[in-house]
Amino acid sequence: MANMNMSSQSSLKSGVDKYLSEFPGKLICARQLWYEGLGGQGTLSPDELAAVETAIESNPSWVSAGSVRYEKFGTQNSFRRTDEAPKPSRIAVQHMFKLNGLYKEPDGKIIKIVLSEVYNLRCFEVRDGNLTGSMIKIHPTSDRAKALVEIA
Amino acid sequence: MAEKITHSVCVGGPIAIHTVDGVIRRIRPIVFRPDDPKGWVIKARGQEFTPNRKAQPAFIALTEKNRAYSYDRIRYPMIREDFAETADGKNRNTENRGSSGYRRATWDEALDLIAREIKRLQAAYGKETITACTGSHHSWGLVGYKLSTFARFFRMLGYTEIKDNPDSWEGFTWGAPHTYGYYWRLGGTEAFDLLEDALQNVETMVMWSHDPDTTRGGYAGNESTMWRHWLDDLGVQFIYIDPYNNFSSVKQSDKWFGPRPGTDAALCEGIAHVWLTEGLYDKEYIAKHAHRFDEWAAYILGSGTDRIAKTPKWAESETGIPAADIKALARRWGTTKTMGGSGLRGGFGGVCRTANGTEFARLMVQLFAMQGMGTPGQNIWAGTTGAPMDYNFWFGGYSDPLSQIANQPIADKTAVNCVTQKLYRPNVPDAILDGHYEWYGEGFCGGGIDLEFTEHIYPEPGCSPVHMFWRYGGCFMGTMLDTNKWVKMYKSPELEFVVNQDIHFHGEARFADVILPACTNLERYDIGELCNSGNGGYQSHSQTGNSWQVVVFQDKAIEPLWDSKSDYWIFAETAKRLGWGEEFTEGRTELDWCKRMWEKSDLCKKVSWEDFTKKGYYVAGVPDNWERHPGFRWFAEGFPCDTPNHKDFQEEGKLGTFTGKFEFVSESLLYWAPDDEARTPIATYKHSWEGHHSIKARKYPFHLITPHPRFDYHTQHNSSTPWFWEIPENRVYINGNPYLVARIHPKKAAEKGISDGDLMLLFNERGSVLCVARVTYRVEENTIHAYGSSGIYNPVVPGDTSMDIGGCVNILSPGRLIGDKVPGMAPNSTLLDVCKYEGPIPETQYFEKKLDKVAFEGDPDAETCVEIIEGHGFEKIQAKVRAKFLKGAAV
Repeated sequence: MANMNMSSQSSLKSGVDKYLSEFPGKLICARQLWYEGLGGQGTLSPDELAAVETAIESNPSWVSAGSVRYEKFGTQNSFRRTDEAPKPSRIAVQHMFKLNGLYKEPDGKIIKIVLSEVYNLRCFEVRDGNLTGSMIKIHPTSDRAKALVEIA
Repeated sequence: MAEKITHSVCVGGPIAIHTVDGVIRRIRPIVFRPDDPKGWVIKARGQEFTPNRKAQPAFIALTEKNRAYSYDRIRYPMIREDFAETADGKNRNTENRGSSGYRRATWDEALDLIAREIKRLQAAYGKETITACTGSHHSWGLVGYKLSTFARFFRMLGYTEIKDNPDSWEGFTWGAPHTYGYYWRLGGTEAFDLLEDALQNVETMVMWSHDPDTTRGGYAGNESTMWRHWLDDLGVQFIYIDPYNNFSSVKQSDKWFGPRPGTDAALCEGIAHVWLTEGLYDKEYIAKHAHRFDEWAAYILGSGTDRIAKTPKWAESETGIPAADIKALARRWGTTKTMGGSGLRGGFGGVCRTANGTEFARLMVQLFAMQGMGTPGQNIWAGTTGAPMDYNFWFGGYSDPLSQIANQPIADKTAVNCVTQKLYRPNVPDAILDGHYEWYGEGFCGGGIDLEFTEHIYPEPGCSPVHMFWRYGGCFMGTMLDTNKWVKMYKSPELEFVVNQDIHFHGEARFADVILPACTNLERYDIGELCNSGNGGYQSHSQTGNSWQVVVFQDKAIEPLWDSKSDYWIFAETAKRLGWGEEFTEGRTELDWCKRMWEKSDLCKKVSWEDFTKKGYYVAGVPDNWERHPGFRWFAEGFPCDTPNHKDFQEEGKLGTFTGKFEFVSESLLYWAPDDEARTPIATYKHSWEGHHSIKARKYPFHLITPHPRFDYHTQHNSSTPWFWEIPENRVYINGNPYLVARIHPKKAAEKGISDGDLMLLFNERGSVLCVARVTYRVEENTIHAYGSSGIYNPVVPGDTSMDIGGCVNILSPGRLIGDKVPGMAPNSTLLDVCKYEGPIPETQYFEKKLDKVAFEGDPDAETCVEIIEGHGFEKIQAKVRAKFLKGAAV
């Protein structure tokens, strides 16, 4: 059961598009969208799931990302954003760096984020696949952090 | 005479150790120097609060001297007398395990035998045929800890891993995430900066199933004791809810409620009924932050499927607490700024270790949500965590993968286990004895709600069953479920070879074929931070349970006693015999590994290795204007999460539930386990499968509760620190045996003809345990209270599932897990009966004589166990060690 008429494709699509336009993340699945964006309750039927997925797929900013595991939902068919995510309306010191993500510094050095806290990203340099050297501490809003480029 | 002062840290906190001529003379708290940082200052209600300038360990830490020279130290490697090393692993007299004696062995003999057996078993059955398991807390220190050295060895070897269960707070792990997320904190809440919030705002503290002076915030010793005194001095009202009027309650409570065990969820519902009918909750907060609240409210008010209103009168019939008292509690809570929680860090209480534990945990979260959780003075906070801390300083805790010698970056190469088969700790005996076991979940894991529902089967398809067990530290007879099952397991020929590695001769060691003597962490090098349990599937920032953040260089105070060796040495030598010693050590000594911990953390930027090891500790100060990020404030006020250890979705202002809100009807349970009868989508009070409504209660009318112990830490200090046996509330020493104290209400004691100090037999169909009766009004009428975690296991018929005089009350607990899909244990849902014991009093501890025999093989002038317990043997050991030390010094 959702807060909207799931049998009406147009209202479903407008609900999905509205949520996606505000959603600050880069990855989403139909189940997450249904609970968070459409007020979903109880069990989502296969038909409803398919309808939500169709609505996401029809949004030009989102493409299929295959199966991805979510800590809440388990493995789900997912969609990835292709455009710039909207900025959160209110910023503390948040960041969107990924724990265990690999990033490239301007000098070509590859680092791995091993701890991602509010206060600091804690990283080690990666050489030949191994963590090396001392722990590197980077504040997530610093220029150094801004210069990091995520390696897909 | 040369006095040396070294430092260490143990489960009871950090200590300074004075040794004279190679012998420990004194252990004391670390008193900070003038050049150490100043303490934080919290301003509240016109006063300033700052901690004392010393670390404040628990009293157990100050008895490490007694524990080091204890009568039950495993002095030498030992091999079971009637162990036969047969080529096929059969006919090894396994039925005699538990009763056979031992002979002294050399290290070479013992380790060569182990290496031969490992090679034989792996060749015959595959790598998965070996399993191994640690106790919860063998010794503090990042090098020696179970997730470090032990994990490195066994992952390199390849073995069937035994998944731990969160045995201290089951209900919170398996329940609370379905109401408010926080699965990555094992169901526990975030308590950042809540000490200041409490000092400034709180009016009432609800301490539910919580005895902080006993459980000490986990590993924080007495660091938080003063904080609760400050609150007392400010006039904050303390309400304690516990079937036992516990030690903190006796000292501090303004009101004690003693519910019948297992009925706490009914009390939650009775409180909610008052709030709903009298409008005593934060309606605006609920409208904004709660999901399907009205459906739950309808259930409470009597419109649910059971059509029963959960009135205080109804709650009285279940809990035994008068309805008027329930109303008064609800009104006080609903009209004053109230903080509280269950257990040592806000969720780790014994009430969560019942058949109804998940439902209680969820209801408790819901109650705090109804009062506006996260607004000033309203939160889950149990008075044991949330001190100011400098989050810019990082040193790893024991569960941090970054701080384990098993992994990079500490090691050059990460050790990876090539075996996928697993076992689940509470059910290891079932799996071995039945040859088959199935269960859900990854146990002690904060990796995701989905991981609660992974399916496991033993043996894994294509895998061999287990035939070798390497036990390391502790005593599951005193901590696991229906523990006579472990006795039966050890005697099974399915286990062809059993090794036990421990410091002390805990009750489980006697079932091993080979026993290896490890040394204490006062006899080797290590490094560790006070109360830092890390962030690897655990609650991060547990150091906020301290007033001070202290990293300690655990210097070697004395040489290893007798033939004992460090755990690292034992595993390194075994690895060498298996052909991969160099890969295991990477050429490093224990001291080298300690230095790696310094080098890979922020510590190396704060203090040089030389200065750190010379001084022995480092205190990380807190800046004057530290950043405040009170737990849950972000959610209450609707801004992106600003507390440490958060998830991406919290940055969007959402909780870790499906909907991002407090779920009064759990969508995650509807999705993952809609038919789960133990954990329904709406959290409800349910009759315990072993409780006062059970048919069995006619035969076994008492309810046993076995909280975490006051006079030891898990099984540590229990057998090994006879000084504590002199505390009459702990044990009573009769005929050479320290009987555990069990508490009974005077009315029931009179009915049973039991007087204070009598020997009282606790029994049910699972076994019997002989204790000493303490007759006291401090215990609820239907309850027997006895601390769990006995390290002493002493059945009167050795090797048999006979009456235990050691105090392993977990023998009586049900083997059943909370639910089919809730793999938590519920030792506080135990029914039993008691009687005055009038049989013969057994003489001494049976196994002492066997230990004495081995000791005499090593030294004809050895001290007997009884001599050491009673004192003069203790002095004699120290004199011998001193003479040896001086002889060495002279040479």
